[in-house]
Amino acid sequence: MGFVPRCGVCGSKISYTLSVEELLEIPSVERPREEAIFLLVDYGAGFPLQQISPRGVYILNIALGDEDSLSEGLIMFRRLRSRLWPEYLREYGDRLNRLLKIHGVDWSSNRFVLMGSSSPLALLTSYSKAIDPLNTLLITLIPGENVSAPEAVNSYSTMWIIDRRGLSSLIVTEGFLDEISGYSEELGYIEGGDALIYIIRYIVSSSKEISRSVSEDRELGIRYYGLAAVIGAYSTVFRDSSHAMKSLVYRVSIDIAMRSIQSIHIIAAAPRDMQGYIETSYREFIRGFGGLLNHTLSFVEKGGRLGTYDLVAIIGFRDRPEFEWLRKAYESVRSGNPEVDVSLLGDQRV
Amino acid sequence: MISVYSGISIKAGGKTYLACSAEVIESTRIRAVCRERKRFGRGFEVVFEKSLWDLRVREGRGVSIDDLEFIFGSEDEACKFVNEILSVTYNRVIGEIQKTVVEYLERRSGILGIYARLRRSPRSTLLLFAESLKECQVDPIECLLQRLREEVKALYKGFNEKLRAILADVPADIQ
Repeated sequence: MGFVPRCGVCGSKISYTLSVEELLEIPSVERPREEAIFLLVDYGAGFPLQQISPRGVYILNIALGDEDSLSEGLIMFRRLRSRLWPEYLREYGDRLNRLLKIHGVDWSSNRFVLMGSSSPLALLTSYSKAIDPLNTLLITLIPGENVSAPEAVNSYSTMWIIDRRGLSSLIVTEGFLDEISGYSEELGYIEGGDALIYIIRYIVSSSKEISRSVSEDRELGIRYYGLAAVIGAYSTVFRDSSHAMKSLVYRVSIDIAMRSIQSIHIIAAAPRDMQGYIETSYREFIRGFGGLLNHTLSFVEKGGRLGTYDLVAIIGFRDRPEFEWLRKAYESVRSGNPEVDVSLLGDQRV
Repeated sequence: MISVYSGISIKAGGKTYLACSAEVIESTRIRAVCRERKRFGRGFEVVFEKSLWDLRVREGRGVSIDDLEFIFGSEDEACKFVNEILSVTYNRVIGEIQKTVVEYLERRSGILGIYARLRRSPRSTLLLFAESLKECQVDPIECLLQRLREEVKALYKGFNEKLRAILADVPADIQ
């Protein structure tokens, strides 16, 4: 009889051969899930990331710089000689697609992209198949009429891709950035880019609600949005929250006719004791719109000594926005340089 | 290296041969030569050959290998003989197997370390492998897992081959 090793604890027979075979089995790894993913596309290194990074939100900065660089939270491409998107797409299109996947852009169904449309990287990001149109809200900055020709070409082409791919986009014009301002108890008077970040912080921290609303709108055929906000509303400025809400439609980040508004999603950040008033004001405000297909109110409790409140509205409309100055510049450049013809990209995606 | 033993007696088939010497040949075989002297006429040699794997038992000065009993001048000498046999049979093979298993487990644990890291901080792990995921056309986590699975399989295959080579000269009934 040969040697039969036995377990010292339970006494059962031990088979070394079978044990070694069992080692072949290796554990599985579940795909991670994240609360939200926020992509900043060529938005400048000075963006105060910490201000919009609530727990569970991954922020990825996609930027242009002096050299290629890759780390957690950063994809940096070396700036090319050309300022137009075709060279960037040739050089970096595939790589961006792959790196977005490696950075796990699909690990959350609440995905936000803040991008200046005039950057060539905005087109590459919008064009990448790693960006799923179903779960993404782009916050797209549109340059003003004094934009340079290459930037106008990039911006127009990006908007064309957004439309062709069916991505949902919140449009913010340069003019809106010049006008937006408000008062925050923590930051004092804020305006322009700082005010935009202040607003985006609400969108990201209400990412689930906003993503759900955008997704519902999408099913209703609404894909474009304007942004409006009242920062630091107070009873001596607005008689009540109803007036503050009504003022939102005059503060939208893109020119839209009242009748073309099809959805309104409001985030109200206020002291808890104001919740009832705000809900009543909201119902009254919504009644003023005929033909609204969808509307929601998210309430965020906000502290503070002065009792100020903030309102952020995402206002949906169906028609693709037109920016005549971008189209003219694009047509002019395309007539001399057919390579920038964005329609040649068709439905193929990197 | 097993020494040459001389002055030993060998019991075989109910008979005892005196003045025998033994030495190892072909790594794991032992060859014993006994010189028989006849009162009349010339003496002759009796030769025994056994596999060292057939070592059975030692009792006092006697060491049994299969059906032969080698009787040494002292118990110490018998023990030395047994130790030397073990050093080229069981102990050598067990030592080689141990070394191979340890090497296998170490390399496997290196791969499992990547798994653990992938679970703990997936993003930084994927970034670490960004270059090798260049050709990945599907989910990068799946590509990395697939690669690790292949590495584990290849490692296991190599380990098995090494094990087989080590056991190649071990008699089948004790493998």
